[in-house]
Amino acid sequence: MSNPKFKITNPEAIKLLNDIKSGAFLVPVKDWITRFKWFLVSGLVLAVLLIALAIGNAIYRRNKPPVFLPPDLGTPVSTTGNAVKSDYEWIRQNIQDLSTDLPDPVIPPFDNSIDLESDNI
Amino acid sequence: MNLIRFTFFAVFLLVVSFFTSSLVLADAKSDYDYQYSQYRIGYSEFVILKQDYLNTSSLDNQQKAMLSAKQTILARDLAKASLNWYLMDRIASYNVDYNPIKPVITSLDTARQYFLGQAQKSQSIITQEDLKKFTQGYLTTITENDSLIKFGIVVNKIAALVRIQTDSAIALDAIIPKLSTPIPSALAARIQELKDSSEIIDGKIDLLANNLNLADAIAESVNEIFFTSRVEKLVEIRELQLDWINRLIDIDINYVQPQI
Repeated sequence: MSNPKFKITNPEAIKLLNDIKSGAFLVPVKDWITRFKWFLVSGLVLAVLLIALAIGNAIYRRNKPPVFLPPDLGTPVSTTGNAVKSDYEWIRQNIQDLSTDLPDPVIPPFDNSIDLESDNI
Repeated sequence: MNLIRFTFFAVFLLVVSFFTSSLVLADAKSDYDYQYSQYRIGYSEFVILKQDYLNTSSLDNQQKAMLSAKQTILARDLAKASLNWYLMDRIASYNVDYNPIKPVITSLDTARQYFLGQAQKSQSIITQEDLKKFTQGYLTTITENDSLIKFGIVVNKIAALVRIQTDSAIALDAIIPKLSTPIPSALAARIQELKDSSEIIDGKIDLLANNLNLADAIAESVNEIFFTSRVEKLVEIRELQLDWINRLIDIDINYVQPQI
């Protein structure tokens, strides 16, 4: 079985291969880097800072300070249900119910001068 | 067998008397309400008919006004008699035997009889001249009888205060034997304080009751401060009674009632 030989004949491809072999291919890239190196450095510093912040935040979250809470006292329970009652509450109730308003009952108005003479209507 | 029948009959009588007594209590108030409503209706009609007569002095208008006047006078004096009865009933409901108020209760009854007498007398009015004479005579005697209603109103409150004093004294007498002996000196002092306070309250009630001068009823009843001056005393006595019973209840709860 014959081994087919692959041969590049396209001149543009040959030129590209030669540029890669000689390093001429990297010249525009180097020029671009040289031209924008301060931007790249700034971006790199910014990226480092952001990464540092993220790492710091993650460390802070892992090491939260302990929270000290007061012990649970429970819900207050009314004690009125168990209050001792006196046998004489009814006297106190009578006193509280006693109205001190006078006159009680109110005296209604009466006309004591009923006649047909005077014009005192 | 006869004994069982008698027992059933006695129980039946007891139940009937219980309900009828409550009906009697309700009657005094309802009778007064009814009589006063009759007076209001009658008086409003009389005012219109009298005005008609004064505007047009015809015989017909005179007769209508006269009939209405008689009816109104009857309703007025029956309403006053009912008011006195209502007050007497309320005072009696406290079931107190307190001498200083007895003259007022007697006077209330006398005034009630007077009003009933006037109501009856008014029905003999025939002419306009009769009506005039009746009213002139009425005005000479009515002030004293009307003034007694004010005294009755105050006595009603005094009877309530006396009832509370009686109940309080009974309560204290009931508590003392229930205290564990020997009674601690601090508790004995509190009981003595209660007794002393009770006497002070009794004295204030006596003063209020004895201050009702029936002999000068007319002059006193027209006094503007007749009620207001006594309201202050009533409030003071009521506050003292409330303080007294609070102290008694405190002793009862802490020394007599079983602790939970």
